[in-house]
Amino acid sequence: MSNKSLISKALLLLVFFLIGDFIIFKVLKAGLDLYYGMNKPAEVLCIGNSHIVAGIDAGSMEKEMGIPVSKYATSGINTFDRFWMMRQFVEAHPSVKVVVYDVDPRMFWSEDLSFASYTLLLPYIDDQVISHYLKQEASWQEYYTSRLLRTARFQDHTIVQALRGLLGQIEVEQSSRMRVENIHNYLERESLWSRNIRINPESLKIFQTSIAYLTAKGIKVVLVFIPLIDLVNEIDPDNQEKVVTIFQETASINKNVYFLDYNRDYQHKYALFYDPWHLNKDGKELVTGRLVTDLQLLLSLNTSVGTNTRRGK
Amino acid sequence: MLFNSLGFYLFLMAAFSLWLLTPMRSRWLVLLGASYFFYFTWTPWFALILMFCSTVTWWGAIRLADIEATGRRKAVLATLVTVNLAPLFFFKYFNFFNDSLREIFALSRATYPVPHIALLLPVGISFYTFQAISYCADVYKGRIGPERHVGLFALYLAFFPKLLSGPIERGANLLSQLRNPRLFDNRLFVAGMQLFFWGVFKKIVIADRLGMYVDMVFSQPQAYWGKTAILAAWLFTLQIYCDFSAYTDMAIGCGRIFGIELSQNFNFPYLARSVAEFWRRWHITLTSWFRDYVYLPLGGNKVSPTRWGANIMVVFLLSGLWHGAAWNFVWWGGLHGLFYLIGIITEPFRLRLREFCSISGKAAAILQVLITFNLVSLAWVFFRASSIEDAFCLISHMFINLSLPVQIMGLRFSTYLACCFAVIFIVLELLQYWDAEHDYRCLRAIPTFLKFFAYVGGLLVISLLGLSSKQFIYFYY
Repeated sequence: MSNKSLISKALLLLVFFLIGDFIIFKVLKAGLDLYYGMNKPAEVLCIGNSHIVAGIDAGSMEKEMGIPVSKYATSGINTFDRFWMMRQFVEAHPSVKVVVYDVDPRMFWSEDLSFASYTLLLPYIDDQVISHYLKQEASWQEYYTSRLLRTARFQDHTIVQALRGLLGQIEVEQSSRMRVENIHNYLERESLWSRNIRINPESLKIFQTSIAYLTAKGIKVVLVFIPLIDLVNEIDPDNQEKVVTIFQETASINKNVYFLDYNRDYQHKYALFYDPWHLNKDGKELVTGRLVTDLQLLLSLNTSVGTNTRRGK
Repeated sequence: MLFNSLGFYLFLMAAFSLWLLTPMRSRWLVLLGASYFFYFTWTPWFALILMFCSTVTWWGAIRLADIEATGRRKAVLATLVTVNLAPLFFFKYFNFFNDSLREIFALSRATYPVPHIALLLPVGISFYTFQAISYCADVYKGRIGPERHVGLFALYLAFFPKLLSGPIERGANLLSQLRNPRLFDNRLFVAGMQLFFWGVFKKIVIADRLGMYVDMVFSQPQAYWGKTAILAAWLFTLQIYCDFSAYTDMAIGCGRIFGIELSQNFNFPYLARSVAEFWRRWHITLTSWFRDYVYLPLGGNKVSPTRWGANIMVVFLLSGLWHGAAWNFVWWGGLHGLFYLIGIITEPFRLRLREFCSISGKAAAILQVLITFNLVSLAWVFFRASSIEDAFCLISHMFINLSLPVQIMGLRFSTYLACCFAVIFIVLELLQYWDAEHDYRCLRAIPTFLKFFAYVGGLLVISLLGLSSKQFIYFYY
């Protein structure tokens, strides 16, 4: 093999590789857009982590409310990621009128939640907002590898979501019920009894910035506390109350912010849970129904929301 | 700078371009500079230890060759070995022995004054130290002459493809190639690139993905039972092979790009029919190092049976300790020694049993491979576990709650994918093994265009499914 032939073969390999890279990326990206509802001019945007993935059915909401609803949510997303995700979505879709923001007592301490969650946003590196965020978070190698190779932007987690989007299986529905007798072992195994609720000031600040950003754009923000089982709520009740107070106060000082505490009502109903932190299919149906009713009230009255919702203290 | 990072690819391209543009007689300088630059990207000041070992060994070996008196030669050799072992002992084993002594003192309620020192282990120190020792021993034995060119000798120790994870090269193989560099050979270059990317595929697509499940189980062995624990042990067995052999493939591939053929380190180890055979196929350069520089000097098998057994145990215990400074590695080594000895002792009995049960040659071979694989997997539990307690816990849990389904938690897709790739890998290994015995007839029969698309597909899989060092991890709550 001559050097000339070697170079031409290498170039041909590169060309085919780049074409394959481009096609696979386009297909997966289309799936991911479908999964997150990026492809429609949503009026309601649900944003958050696995609690909202398991707890809210965007498709049902859309049917019930008759307006486009998107759910830009994935497991392990922290408050920083959410801020940039929200900005990305809202800037791309000025149609958004309401943001349903998933809140929970541990949202201000992301260290226990996940590691390198920003990598879930790599498929959107071409978006200016996300690119700006990733430049801060990712190493130069990660950033430029993702820039150069489109398929490298995906990982197992995002590939599954893209495939779900392509197959139209957007809602994750866990039909099994949590077995009460396993909960204690499970929680002990995860060493969660000793895991206290903490507040990272930076995380709190970005949450407040997120609220300010949305309200400045005239978007209503609905903070939704998706239920956790009572055993989890009892791990650190004092600090949990402090965090819930932050949500209540945020709602009380902003006329466009509402706080819906579904945790209070359903935390004892184990039949609604798949595991201590996530709702099953029945729980999802129930909470989605409640949310639809409350959002309809909120959108029609524009002043207060349903009987079981609280607006501030 | 990891082999599977953008930084390394850029570095490799720059080093190769510079090497290609440099006249033949100065190419060693490019490789030496690149090797030290590569080492500097880890912890810069550790390069001083490498420089120190290189200089002392180079100078000492020349002295060794010039001295004729046996007593003095032995003294110089002992000094060189000690000087080379000193940094390894200090950085890798000081805390191990120190902490062990402290525990012994604590048992007798005596005070132990030497504190634990926080030490970083210089990368690759175990590999280049062994290489330096083998060089001194070879010069002492007259197997090779001393290298009088300090630059070439420094490159022999520091050559970047094999610096971090081997193969542990001998002077006879590597120094001769460094002295007589080859012209650029595009066939060797292509073979190098193919092997390099096959290594990348094995590392970041298979091994790292298998590691996700393995990490989940081994991080909390008390929480997993039955099939989950067994599967974790099997998957780690595959993970460590894919991981380690991937590094070797990448190293050999890189070497070929620069016209240097490094030694083979693996030869289908999990197709071994006994633990003894496994060690002839696994980490070959380390096994042969221990054979030549520990086992044979101890007398090998030309001693009494008891002494011979002891020699084998010493080699395996040292091998365990070489892999890591913790008691679980010693257990791992010890267990292999035990399996090795039991295998030899029971051989006549097993042969008679085979005849008695009239098991055919092929069936017996398959059975032997499966038994060896499981024995090796069992030993790997000690290697992977964080402590001996964790290893025993996981092994005992393998026989409890066998009816429970395999627990996957939040890793469903990754685990399924890992298992799929593991199966594909096993099939490929079997095919390669078969094909190697038939002079690669199958491989040569594959049409060029199919190979071409296989390469494109492989690269796309690496890009899409390769896990970066900063993989998203969800703590599941």
